[in-house]
Amino acid sequence: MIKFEKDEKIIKTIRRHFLIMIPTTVGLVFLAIMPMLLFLMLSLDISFIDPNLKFSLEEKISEWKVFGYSLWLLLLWVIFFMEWTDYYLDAWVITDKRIIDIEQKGFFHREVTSFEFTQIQDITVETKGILCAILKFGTLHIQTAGHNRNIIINDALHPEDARSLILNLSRQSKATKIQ
Amino acid sequence: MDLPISIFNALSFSSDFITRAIFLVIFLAVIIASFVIFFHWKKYGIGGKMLPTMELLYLAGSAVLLGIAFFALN
Repeated sequence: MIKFEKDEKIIKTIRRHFLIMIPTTVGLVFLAIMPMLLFLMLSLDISFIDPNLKFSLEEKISEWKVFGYSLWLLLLWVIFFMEWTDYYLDAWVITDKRIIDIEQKGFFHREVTSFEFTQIQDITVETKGILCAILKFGTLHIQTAGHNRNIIINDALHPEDARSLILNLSRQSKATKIQ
Repeated sequence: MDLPISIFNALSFSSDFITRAIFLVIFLAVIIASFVIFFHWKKYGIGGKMLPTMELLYLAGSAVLLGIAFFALN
């Protein structure tokens, strides 16, 4: 859990674009309709399946279909929410005092790094491809002093806005420090 | 001389028992997964209306699917 200072205010939370959930969602939807397709295939008159085998399969499936299919959907439902949790908890929190980089790597691996605006040396926005340009997402790199690694958020939504906001806050913070 | 009791005969289960066992295993798996998901949401979630909405959606969907499976079982 992130501990904020007493008078610290959250200004913006940046997450990856929700489009990155689409491949997972499409995969899960495909898995959800797959049993229906298999059942449909069995109900069609397919000559290469032995009629006896087909009859026994149909009998077994019709006995189990509601029960089995609802449990299958339940499993996919839980997987979707697990994936969504991983997506949602991976975020950057910009407060009026610092930036907190939260990297959720699976359920039980989490890295939280925070740095002050005065440590920021450079911010770069990288937008690759037509999809990124149209849907306004890209990669945000922040080079910091005193950190071994650069802070990177991939597929961030509106990275240009985030860059301007961070630069403004950084300037304000540096000006306050000089005074 | 008595023949040894076949382990397969001793372990024969009815299909009703198997379906109930599958339901129970999946029910427990869903409870554990839900606990892990909610733990993360409560501990690490940051503000906004998104999390309460997703909580509601998750619980409603899970309850409906578990209910359908339970009624199909009986």
